[in-house]
Amino acid sequence: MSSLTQGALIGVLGMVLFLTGMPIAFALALTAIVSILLFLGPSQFDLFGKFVFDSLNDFGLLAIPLFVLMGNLFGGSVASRHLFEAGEAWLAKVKGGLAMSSVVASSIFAALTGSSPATAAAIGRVAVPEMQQRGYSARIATGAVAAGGTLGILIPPSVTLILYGIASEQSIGQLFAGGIVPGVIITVLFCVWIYIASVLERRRARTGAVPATLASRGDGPGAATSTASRPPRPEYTAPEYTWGQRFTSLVKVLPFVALIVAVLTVLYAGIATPSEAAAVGVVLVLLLVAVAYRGLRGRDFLKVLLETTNQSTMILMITAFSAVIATVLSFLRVPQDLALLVTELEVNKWVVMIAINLVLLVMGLFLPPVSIIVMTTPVLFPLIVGLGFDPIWFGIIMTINMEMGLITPPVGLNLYVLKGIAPQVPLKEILVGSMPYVAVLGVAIALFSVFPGLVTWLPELLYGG
Amino acid sequence: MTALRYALSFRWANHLSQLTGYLSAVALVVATGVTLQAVLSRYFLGRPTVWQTEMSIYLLMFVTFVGAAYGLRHHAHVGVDLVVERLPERRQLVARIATAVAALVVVLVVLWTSAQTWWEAVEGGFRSPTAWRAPLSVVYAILPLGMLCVALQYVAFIVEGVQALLGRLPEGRRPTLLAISSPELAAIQESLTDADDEGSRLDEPGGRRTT
Repeated sequence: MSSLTQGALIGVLGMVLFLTGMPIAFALALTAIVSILLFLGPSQFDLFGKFVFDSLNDFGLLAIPLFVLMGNLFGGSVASRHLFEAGEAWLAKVKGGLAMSSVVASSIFAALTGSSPATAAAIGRVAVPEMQQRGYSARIATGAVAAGGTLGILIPPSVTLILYGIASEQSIGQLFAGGIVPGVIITVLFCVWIYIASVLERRRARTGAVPATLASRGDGPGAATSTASRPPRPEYTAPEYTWGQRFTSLVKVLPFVALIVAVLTVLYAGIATPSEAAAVGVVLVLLLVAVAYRGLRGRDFLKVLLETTNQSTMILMITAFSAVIATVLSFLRVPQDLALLVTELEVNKWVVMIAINLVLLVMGLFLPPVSIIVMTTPVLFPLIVGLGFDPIWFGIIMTINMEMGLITPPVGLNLYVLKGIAPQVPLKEILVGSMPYVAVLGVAIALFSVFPGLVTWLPELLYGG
Repeated sequence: MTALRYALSFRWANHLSQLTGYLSAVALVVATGVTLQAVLSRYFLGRPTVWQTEMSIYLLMFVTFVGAAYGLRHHAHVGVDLVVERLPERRQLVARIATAVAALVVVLVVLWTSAQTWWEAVEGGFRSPTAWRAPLSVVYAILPLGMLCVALQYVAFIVEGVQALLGRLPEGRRPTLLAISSPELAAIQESLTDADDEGSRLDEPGGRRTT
């Protein structure tokens, strides 16, 4: 049996086990056990425990629980409110300004956490009720928050970039740096779409069809159109902000910006590795939340720690067992043979890149980003490098691809977060509002493919190429 | 008799899982402290970090493998629920029990092989090949210990699920196996409801909301 057939069998076994609803971590473990017994023989089997142990024997992985902890400490704090209010003070006059503020606030909050649903929840909790009051349509409001939240895994720190870095043996610091410029560009692209959507909506409103507001109870697909018979809702007037208020709002976000700068400085000045920078970040956040704000009670802290345990064990169990499969595949020379096969086909490398992105997109419909990254990176990496793509660049492209999966059904986590924040909005409206952002992310991938320098410029600047 | 029944119901495993969560919480704090200490002593005192890195890796393993039982108790380990959720409730429960049994077998296999590795380290008195020379008899115990706790939690779930199938659960109590949903989502939903009322409280094992 050729190595690629063996690899395909392992892949199919894994997918079938996933569909049974078994936890992904244990489905991966079972796949690993079966593939060792089938393809490596029972003599290797005694080493299984050692394999699992070794797969976590990496100091880089410590960054995951620590950055998760840092984000969770922020999650319940006033950080998101201050960030949103600052955005509002500056953008209130623009069409769709509040929705843009939530995207901008998300992008900054993303620099404090490595998780996308957490970003969507933290910002949405503040932004959605506010937009609801100001008569924003459900589509624009929920779409902006769901999409803005996806920036959580692109803008450093990022759990997925850490996992990609470890699986592909690339510098996590460089990957983090690579996410910054694309993160800013995507934030701008999201805002551009919000502007377009707001203009389109106003034009439609003039012709009579009033879109459902956040406040109206959607009782199904027909609810949106039935509101047309109601008197038109009063045009919302943006509150006036003086320049003094605008700058005060900036002063309030200063502690967060200072914290982000501190963590990045510790990291890029070569003082600490990413894991160590995460520990520094946790302590700084603790000081900030406990001293500067309302304080952190013991039981709240314990709760945050337990939540962090929950999320960390989920991510790291998947990582551990996935790494065992990667070891087996590499014993069988699957990644190398796959790279060889595709290079011998002599198709254009961009055709291969598009195919890879489509596969990742389909996987993203069903699986959480973490598991896709740890499963596919070891297999795809030799191929990517063999075709001459930049490994840092690919890590960023892959992450943007994962962002799409977070706002597409059936398991787009951010959609369900929004459903939790605004239960009165039908899931369909959230979906319709979020879908355009999938296209925007697709445009972003195309943009970074045409101009890869946008991704690689900053890491090369910081690390001297 | 009731003591025996309690022991056989494995409900005590729920408390054990809760305990692994608290221990992992402590491990997280210690890992943060140890890592910070390493940065400070290297940057200000110029001392090399000998034991800190290794120690934090072991704490990380503790959070992952031992905390896994707490995670299981609180539905942390995500699965693809699309197919199973379509089934009517009773069949769904049967499917959940079946996958739980499969997972239990997997966990026992990992427990068995890792316990062997651990026992070799104990008998041989192995130490890690670093300057710190950490005793591997302690380090290699983390994985089997964690898998033992996970296995016990799975047994508790399975017993509860079978009781539910046989109609032996108290009125209104849903088997935990049916409440599996996304952990991040559950945590977020929880924090959403907590953010509004100031008196947020720690979730009791039985009182978790499901979404």
